Amino acid sequence: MNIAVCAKEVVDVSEIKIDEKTNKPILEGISKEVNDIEKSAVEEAIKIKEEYGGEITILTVGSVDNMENMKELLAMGADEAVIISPPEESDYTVVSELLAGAVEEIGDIDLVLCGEASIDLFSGQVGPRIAELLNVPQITYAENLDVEEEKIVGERDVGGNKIMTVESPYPVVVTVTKEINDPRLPSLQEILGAANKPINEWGPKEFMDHEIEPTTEMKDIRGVSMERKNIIFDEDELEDSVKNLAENIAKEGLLEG
Amino acid sequence: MVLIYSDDKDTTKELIAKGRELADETGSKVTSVIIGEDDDEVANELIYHGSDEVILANTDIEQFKAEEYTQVLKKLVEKTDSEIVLIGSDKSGKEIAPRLAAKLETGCVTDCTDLYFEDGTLTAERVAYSGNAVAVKNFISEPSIVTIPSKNFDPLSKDEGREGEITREELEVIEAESKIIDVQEKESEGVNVEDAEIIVSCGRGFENQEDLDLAEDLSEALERGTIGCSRPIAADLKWLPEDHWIGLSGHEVKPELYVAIGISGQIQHIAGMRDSGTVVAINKDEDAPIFESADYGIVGDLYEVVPKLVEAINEEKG
Amino acid sequence: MNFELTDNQKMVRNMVRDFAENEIEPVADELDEEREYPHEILDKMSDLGLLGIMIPEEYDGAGMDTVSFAIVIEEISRKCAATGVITEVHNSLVASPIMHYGTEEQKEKYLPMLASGEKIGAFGGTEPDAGTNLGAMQTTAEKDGDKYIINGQKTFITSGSEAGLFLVFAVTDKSKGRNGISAFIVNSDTDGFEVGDVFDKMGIHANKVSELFFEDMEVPEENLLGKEGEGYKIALSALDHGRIGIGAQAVGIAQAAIDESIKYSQQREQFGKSISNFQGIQFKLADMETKTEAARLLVYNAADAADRGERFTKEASMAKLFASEVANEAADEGIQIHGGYGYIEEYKVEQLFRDAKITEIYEGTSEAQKMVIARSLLS
Repeated sequence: MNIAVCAKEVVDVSEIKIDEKTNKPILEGISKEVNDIEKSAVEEAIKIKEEYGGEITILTVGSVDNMENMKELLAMGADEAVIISPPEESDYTVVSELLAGAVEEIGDIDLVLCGEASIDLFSGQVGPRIAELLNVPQITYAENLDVEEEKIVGERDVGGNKIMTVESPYPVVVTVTKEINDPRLPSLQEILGAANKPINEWGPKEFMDHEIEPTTEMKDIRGVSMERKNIIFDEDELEDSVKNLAENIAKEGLLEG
Repeated sequence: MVLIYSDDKDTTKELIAKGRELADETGSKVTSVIIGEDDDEVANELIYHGSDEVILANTDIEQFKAEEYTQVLKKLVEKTDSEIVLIGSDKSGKEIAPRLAAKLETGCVTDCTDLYFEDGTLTAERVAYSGNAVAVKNFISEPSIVTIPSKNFDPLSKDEGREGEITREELEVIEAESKIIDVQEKESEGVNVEDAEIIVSCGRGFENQEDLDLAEDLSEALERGTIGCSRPIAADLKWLPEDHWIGLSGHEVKPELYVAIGISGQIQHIAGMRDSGTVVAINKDEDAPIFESADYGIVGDLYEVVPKLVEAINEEKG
Repeated sequence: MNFELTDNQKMVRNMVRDFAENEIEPVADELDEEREYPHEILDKMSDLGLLGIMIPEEYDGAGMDTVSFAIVIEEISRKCAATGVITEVHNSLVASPIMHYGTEEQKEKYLPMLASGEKIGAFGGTEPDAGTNLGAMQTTAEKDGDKYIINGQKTFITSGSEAGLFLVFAVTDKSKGRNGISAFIVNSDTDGFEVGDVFDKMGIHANKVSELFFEDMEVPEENLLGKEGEGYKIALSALDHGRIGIGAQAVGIAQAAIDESIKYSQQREQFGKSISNFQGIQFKLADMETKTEAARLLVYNAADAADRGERFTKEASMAKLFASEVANEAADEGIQIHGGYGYIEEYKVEQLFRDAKITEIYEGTSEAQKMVIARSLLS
């Protein structure tokens, strides 16, 4: 079973602050990591490989600031990584085309795994787009996967309190939710072992047979400051703190209804 | 033409209202799509809410599959020559829209919170970085595909005087290779946290399932309260059904008052409640990130704080 | 000159940090309160290779460098200093000497069981009357045919009541002074091996520190590590590695004090604004950060010297001396920043203050480090 996993390094959204002067989120100097949802996709791929063998290729579009983040996925158990540099102007159309193009270039991929969305922008476009570009079925929001030789069965959280069980032959694109597993930490031995695994860098011209143009452009990104009062009541007696809190809740008119 | 589709009728009406506004600005029309439900009454309801045209699409499709619905919508987009496609941003809408965009080789913005023309360009806004920012995106392609969450725009008031055209389309689709085997309802209490005015939310600070009664007591004291919870309570411990789950993967809520008890405040949880009016946090860990997202906080053992708070609230009410 | 960690070292840091946040931090307070040895954490650490950090891969270890070892100890100590020292002793005071002085048979037999955590390692050096001055050692090992008979006692032994494999130092030839000391690999289930009192300590509560008693304890001659009389040399070389580890532990404690102080100072409001706005607090934080980073660089410097195969005795002593002082200073300032709350057990800085002190004492007091450093200048 050959698997491609789409995973990328993103800023740690919990560290983002808003620049008060420009009203833009400050993205520089924030640590970057591969987010949990995509690590779960990698973890799921490793579990499948442990049972069925095959190769796991990590695909990422965009520059990688911290190569150790890519190597960590290899240390977890992926076999190689491909870092694709996008053209200057990029959007989901471009990224998806590159990823689908890379899957075709690698060839013989049975399963493409993605996170349901990436934690930074949470658009959730890449999985379904790749499925369409590859003209294969899609199983989105998978919280559980049951892999067999000829087919894959996924339990999907389709909202409205419903779980849908879907099966598909290969090849197929699956997007997973964070609930599907807890990604493993690589051991020291695996970290050392990752050093010998290949990380390839591809330019679009090397494998794409057509030009790709973006279809949307980012016009602006502005910060949303969610200033909270951050008042902690810590009187000597808990009774007094609680009373203060109740009074404030009342003062805001929340006890009328 | 603005094409509207959602499998939820209330959302469809909200999208029609937005579509109406955009269509009026460009002197275009609004067409709504209903798939697999051949009913004039349902179609008229959409016309009364502002749709110029309703297409009743008849297909062989038995159940919802993104691969097949995408084909239907593609044919209708091409047939109506639509420039804008508005799709409801529920889970099915969000898996159709990008696939449709790829099929049409065009742009898509999901979870759009505002949509307007600026200098003749369709511009969409959406939340980014877990609510820390708003991304403003311009479409430089047509048709422009946008998904919009429910309750984001108000529907137009129903006007039975509105007239429109109902057309029927027979559409053939290539059957998808995937197969739906089963659809199960998750255990549910029919709770709707998304509409709640006050939410008392429970996290990992609770030691036993029975102890959630404490939150229930507070919820009762606050009168309009509904019980919510964080991921571990619903997904890991399963002490509460998932309809209580608040967060990025659960429900996104905006009550007037949100009381987080024993919730540490992981970013995924914060993203689900950050639009709340007033936020109160009770946690024994003074370092819990929830306090950064709270208006009022008490650092303490919830088992001591909550009963006392119930008393204080009751006193306050007189 | 390159001050950047390698990708591998960064990955080690990310992994251990992740592990410490998820597996150690949630239980650290309880371990401290209950004075409970971190058996479960050590089990989980063995799965990640953290009990065989520098043990070569052929003996089931990770074969990592000393810098990685320092990173591991720092990150673990940042969440639990006691688990930090247990890991440090196991890796640097027990596994390392066996790696460097063990016969092929000894390496094959003992290194895999250390790496897998099947046995936790402990170092039996200190005696009631032989601390810094190992030469005053009283414990004796008498050759009797193909075995040694060991009699005596040890004290202040990290993991003493919990470890399975001990490196025990004993005098084989009293006439030769420190050159008459030998090192033995001893299983805790050997007849005549007895654990004495487990001490109630000021800090690092989760580490069980005890006395050991040996009464006619028979140890087969194949358990002699190195040659007879090489014990002192083995102990010093182990302690050189150990001091890098204690330096790293101290950096972890100092870093934790900074972490806690930043959080607290941003949250605590006085005079209508958070106390982090006050220069008095800011200057303290700036000093803590600067000194901690300096200490970290000294630790890395010693570790890097070890990895390059250079002599690093002075470097390790300087790292340990400075880092342990910084840890105490940072914990002290951390409490000052917290004000009255810092003195309350519920706040982590209180524990850090108690944990920091020992770093100036064990594996060579600050005074002993200064002797080592001065000797290298004057010799």
